[in-house]
Amino acid sequence: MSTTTLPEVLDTSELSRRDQMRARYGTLAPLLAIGGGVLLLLSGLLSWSYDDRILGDISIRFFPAGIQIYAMVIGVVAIALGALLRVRPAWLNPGRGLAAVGWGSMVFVVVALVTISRQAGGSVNINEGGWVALLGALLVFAAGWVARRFELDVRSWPRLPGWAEILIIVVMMAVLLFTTAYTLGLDDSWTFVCLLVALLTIAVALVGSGFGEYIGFVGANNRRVLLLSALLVAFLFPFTQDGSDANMSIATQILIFAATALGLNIVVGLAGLLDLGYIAFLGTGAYVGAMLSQSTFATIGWKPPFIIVMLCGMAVASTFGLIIGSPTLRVSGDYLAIVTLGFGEIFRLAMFNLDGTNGPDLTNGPNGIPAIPDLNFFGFDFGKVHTVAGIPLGRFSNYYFLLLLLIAFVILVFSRLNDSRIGRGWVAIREDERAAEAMGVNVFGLKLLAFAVGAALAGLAGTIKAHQDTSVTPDQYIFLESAFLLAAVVLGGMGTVAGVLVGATILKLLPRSCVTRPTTGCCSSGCSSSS
Amino acid sequence: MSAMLEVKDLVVSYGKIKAVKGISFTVGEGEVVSLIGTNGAGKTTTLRTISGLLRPVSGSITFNGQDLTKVQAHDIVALGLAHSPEGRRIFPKLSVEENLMLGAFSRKDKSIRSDLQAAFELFPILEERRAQPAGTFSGGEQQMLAMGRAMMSRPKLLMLDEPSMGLSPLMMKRIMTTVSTLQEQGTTILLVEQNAQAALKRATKGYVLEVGKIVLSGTGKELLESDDVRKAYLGED
Repeated sequence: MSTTTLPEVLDTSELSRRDQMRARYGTLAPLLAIGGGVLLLLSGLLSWSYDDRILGDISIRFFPAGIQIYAMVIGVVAIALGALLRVRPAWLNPGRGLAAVGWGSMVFVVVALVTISRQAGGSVNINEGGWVALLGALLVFAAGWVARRFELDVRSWPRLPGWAEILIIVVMMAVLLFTTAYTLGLDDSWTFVCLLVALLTIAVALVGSGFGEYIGFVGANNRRVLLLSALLVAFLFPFTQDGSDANMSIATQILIFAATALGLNIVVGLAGLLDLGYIAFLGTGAYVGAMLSQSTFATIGWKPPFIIVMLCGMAVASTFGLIIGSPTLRVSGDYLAIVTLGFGEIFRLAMFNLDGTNGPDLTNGPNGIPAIPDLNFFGFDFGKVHTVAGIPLGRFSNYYFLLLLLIAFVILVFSRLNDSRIGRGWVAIREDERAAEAMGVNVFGLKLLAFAVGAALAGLAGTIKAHQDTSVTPDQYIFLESAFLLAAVVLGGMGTVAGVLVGATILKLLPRSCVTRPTTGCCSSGCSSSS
Repeated sequence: MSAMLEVKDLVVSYGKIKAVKGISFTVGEGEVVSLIGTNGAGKTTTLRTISGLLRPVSGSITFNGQDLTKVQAHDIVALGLAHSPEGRRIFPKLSVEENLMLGAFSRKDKSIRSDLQAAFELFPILEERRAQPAGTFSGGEQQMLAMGRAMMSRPKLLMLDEPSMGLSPLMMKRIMTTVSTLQEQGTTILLVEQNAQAALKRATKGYVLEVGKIVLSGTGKELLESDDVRKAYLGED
């Protein structure tokens, strides 16, 4: 008998203990949160490290830098949530947000302090600011632990006047732009890690406390403003780079990757066809772009204007999509994945071997087609530096703007298709092919269409990629790239636009920021430093 | 008056195995025709062949004077022949309303919205839960959704494949009442059932299938009263 009752008793006592604690000390939570927040804020003004070469320079008093600023921002968030715990709006749950800030700030401060003591050779080197921050983080943690949780009434969101909602979006986007530019400008890998922890903390706190849903609500009220301001932020990004091409080259790669992933998203996310050889279509576009370019190594004599080249890239890629699709789309699921994987490899090997010794010389074999000149649109040379409003914009910025247009086009195609009758047919196929057939959905035709449209978008991106990379070789289009594209689609959320953009950005950005970043003194921590 | 649907000497096989071995039957306009038979008798195969999901080896299927054996499945739906498949096959992750709208996929006219209302009138529970994912429904509710979805294509002939499968007696009664309602509203119905009692009670005409052949036919009443049917399907000695 005891075996059946025991777990129940344990369960309720555990629950009630936590609840009892919240009931008893819950009123202290705002005080703890504000106190901890103030300490974190204060710590930013104090010295964290004796050594001035660690994590940037955080040894000077009353001159916050790097992680000190992050600590201050976390402090402000903690104070705000503590205050909200007193005010208690019905649509917010500051307690959950505080719990996130508590955990996050603990991790943040501990990572910072461990880094200081390891790099400087002992915890002796931690100055008073670090300890104050630790105390502050502990207080916030305690606040999150005892803070009461509320049931949310999500329908009670305040309706602000239109301009105020737009202002929220604009401020959010400005913060996004600034943070991105700032993050990319960091050159110390452990500062970068601390920044990631801080950003993650704030993001989780905002979502946990219900702010995220509110922002989603505001965004849904002003869809067009949201979209336009997102595009504007993306458009303004090159102007924050001060003419430097370092980040812009990464940004252009992200955009090409994202545009291709969005194309794959039509195939995988909307129509539900697992394509593991998708990179071949990007490659097709790139080879078409290279063969029809002004390069002296181009194997075809015809050198049409780039607009025509883009159309050719789309046409050839979608033709390949149809050729590959019509036999393979009769199988589905795992079998389709394997067959497309095979076709991806066939493409690579074909490009590798079409060098004149076996068949026609189209691709120069493994050497590829190098020396592809920069694009030139009506006298606008993509290779030159152009100065706009006093800010120089280099070669990669030029391509960046072109790729932004490409992404906008891909998003337009994606969302128009998604909202159309075709999109509904794809959803039906994805959910249940047999039932879709019984509903009168032309299953084979729509699958083929998904393949062709996806291929065409990748082909279009490929023609631009050829010029941006200046050379096209077979080994750029290996299976790993297809896998990465698929990972971006799955990571961000199949069938969504924003999700896939985020997924693509993370997958392209993270490896660079963590591994090949020039590092200053992190040898002891096992992080590999190249060069 | 010629029949709306005429199946003649239909043979369907899966590889070497013949599932339907030359059956003929007709469905006249405004009728409720029941095909009954045990597992493996070829009922579902017959329906799937009529709606173009399977191709016959030989024989003909004529719908309103048009031969269906060469027409693609999605075009058959557009001709006014709806198929509510065995096991209901609703889209579990999609909402009730999305499911219903997919039923109208073959249509491009503007009155889809009013047909949505008609489906809601037929099954009020669908309106109550129009935003709910269909996979959370009980078997009976899913069957209602499947029938509502099939009606969304505005069919002249509705083919129901075992609508009573796995339903409680009460829910089955509800479904069968709806079959009569639909008939009164002018939809012709081809009903495939294992539950002979329920299927024959409302049928104007019935056919009994056994291992791919029609062994008995007559009006619903005649079949219900026939000794063979009573023994084989109604469990009476």
